[in-house]
Amino acid sequence: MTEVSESRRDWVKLAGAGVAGLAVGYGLGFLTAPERVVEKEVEVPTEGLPGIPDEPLKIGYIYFMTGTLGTYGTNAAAAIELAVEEINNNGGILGRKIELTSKDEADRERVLDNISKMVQDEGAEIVVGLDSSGDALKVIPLVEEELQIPFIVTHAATPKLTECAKRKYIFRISMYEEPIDIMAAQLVKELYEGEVSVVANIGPDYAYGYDSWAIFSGKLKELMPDLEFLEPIYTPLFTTDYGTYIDQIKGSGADLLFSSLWGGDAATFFKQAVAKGLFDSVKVYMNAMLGATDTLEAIGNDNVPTGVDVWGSGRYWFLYPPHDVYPLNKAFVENFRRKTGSYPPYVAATSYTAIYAVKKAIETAYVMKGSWPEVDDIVSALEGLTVPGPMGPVYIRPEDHQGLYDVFWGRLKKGSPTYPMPILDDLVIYPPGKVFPEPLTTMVSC
Amino acid sequence: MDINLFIVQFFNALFFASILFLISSGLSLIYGIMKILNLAHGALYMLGAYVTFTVAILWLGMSWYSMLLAYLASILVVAGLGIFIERVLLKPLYNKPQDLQLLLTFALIFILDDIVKMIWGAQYRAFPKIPGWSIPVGDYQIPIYFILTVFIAIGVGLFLHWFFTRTTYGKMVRAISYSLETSSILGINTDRLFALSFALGAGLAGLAGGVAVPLYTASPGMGGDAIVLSFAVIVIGGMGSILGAFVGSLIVGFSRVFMAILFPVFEIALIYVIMAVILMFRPTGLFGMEMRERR
Repeated sequence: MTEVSESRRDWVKLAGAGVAGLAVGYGLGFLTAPERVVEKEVEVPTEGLPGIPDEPLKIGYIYFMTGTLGTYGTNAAAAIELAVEEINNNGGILGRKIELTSKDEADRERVLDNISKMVQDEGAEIVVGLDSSGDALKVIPLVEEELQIPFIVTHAATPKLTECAKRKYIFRISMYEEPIDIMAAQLVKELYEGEVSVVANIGPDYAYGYDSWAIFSGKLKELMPDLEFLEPIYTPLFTTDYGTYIDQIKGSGADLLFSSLWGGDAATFFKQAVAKGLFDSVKVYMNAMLGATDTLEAIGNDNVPTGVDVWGSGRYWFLYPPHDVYPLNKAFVENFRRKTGSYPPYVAATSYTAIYAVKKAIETAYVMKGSWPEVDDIVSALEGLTVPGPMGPVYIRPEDHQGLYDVFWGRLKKGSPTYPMPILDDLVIYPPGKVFPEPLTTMVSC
Repeated sequence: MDINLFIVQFFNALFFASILFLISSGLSLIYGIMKILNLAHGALYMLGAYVTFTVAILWLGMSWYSMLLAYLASILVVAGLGIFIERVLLKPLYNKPQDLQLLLTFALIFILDDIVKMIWGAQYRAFPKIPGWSIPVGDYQIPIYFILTVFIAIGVGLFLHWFFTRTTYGKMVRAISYSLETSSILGINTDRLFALSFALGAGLAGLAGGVAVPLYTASPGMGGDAIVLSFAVIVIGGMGSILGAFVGSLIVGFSRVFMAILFPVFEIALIYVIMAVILMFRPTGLFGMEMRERR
């Protein structure tokens, strides 16, 4: 491993320079974007624009608000509130204030009913949210056939949502799993060809875990056909004791471990793996969901192992694009911290961006129409829209309604003393064109 | 499988069984004595985890000494809350339909989840590192904390055995579990013993959470996931039997670990297959019959 580390470091440096270049570009492009600071009150005429309804625009959101996954909803809700406060303090959308209504996705039996309720009884004109991929797929017929309102998914990551058929009303602003897993395979080829030979997997025992491994291993087999791929390990959600699996992986002789464990599971597994010396034998560990600040906080600075390359990815990383060149991300991180005391996890960035996508789409549609847009006008405006989010500009591809933005993988480093958690460093950034499959295509079966 | 791997896997199973026993013994105890299925037992376990985290990490800083104090704090805080729950919330429902008790303990899950959120926030809470070093077994390692957990579980088992067979209180508690009416006629203060029993069961949940938290990631709602397997344990072992909880934990722990290695698809399913088979042939569980006969 060590002989090539110099060249690898060069490569990473080069990638870093590329990142900086890209980021400078973004920074220049978005320096003119309106500054989003919560405290700032701007007098905007609330009357005067013709065709704007008097009553507030109601936006509904639905996430896991309680139970083990409750952190997702709590963070998403905080970010949505932040966006709404910013927008309302600046006069709302074309003078129309936003009002929120919400439901708990943890109310498993009533996800569809609750979405209908928000729209039909509580007057939500747009809905954002959904953590569970299963729920996202279940919601398709309800939204497309019955409710027929713009529905922006901000978290659920199954490719099937956007890539198996073109939806009319459903959009997804968040990164889905496929580009992250494809990039992981490309990164292994670029950085570790000739250094790793046996590949293992540990992922959650449901569709997401299976799909992630299928995509990663499928792509890696294509790129490096000589590798040995072990039987993948899948663990039940919220497993508390990973000892068995850790020793199994250790006994298998794997030197590259891929994982799609997420949240508390990713942290618990990692800590136990460190304590059980898994990284004495595994030389490269890649976790597609490690780039989540809440997970990293749970891992802690003391659990960063040496002698192993730990890579993490995710759907947003709070230090990218870099704050010095992209003030929007800096402001978002600071405001989110002020509101919650935490560094924003990805679900915060994507839900925040969804609200701004709605604003921008309505404003765009209004320009074309001259009055408050109808549902179809908003949908058309969302197609092909580029909205600046904390993760950089997000382009909503019209063909599949999927949000496209930079994909990253970064190397785990101690974050102390600056950060209370480990951080991802040596970021390697691939632009969407390099890793997103063509619209309406996917490696998982539809 | 090489012998070292077999040894560490055997130990993994023992460790997992220990955690299960710590959780399920309190659950089983409360049911055995009071005939209350405390659905909020997992929430009490969660509270124990948070109290230990607070005392050992936020207040004192990690050391074996602070861990010990944190365990004690968890037991006391959660047992104290147990007394409050029993005296104030459950007692008025003793002569009402049993559904109401279930409903109450179910409601407590959400209330305690929200209390945890209010005090500690919704984010994950975790120890900075699993305490202690690791013992090498060939190429493998067993963290010393895993071993400590097994000893704590054995210690708790022995303590409960001593308490119920050797102390007057323990004997009185057993008496009321066989016949509440006879016991009160004989002059046993059943009120006080009910509170004591609930406090003991809750304290065990608190200790279980405290012992588990350095290895895991605490978050609101973690109790719900912990409790499901514990129900399997006490159904297999026999509801109300501490020995049953012990044997049930071993069965569930070993079947899970060895299925994960040999036949992963059935890792969790087998536990419920065992449970179903036992329910078919011995509806009171492996060690539950004795109590029913004597009642």
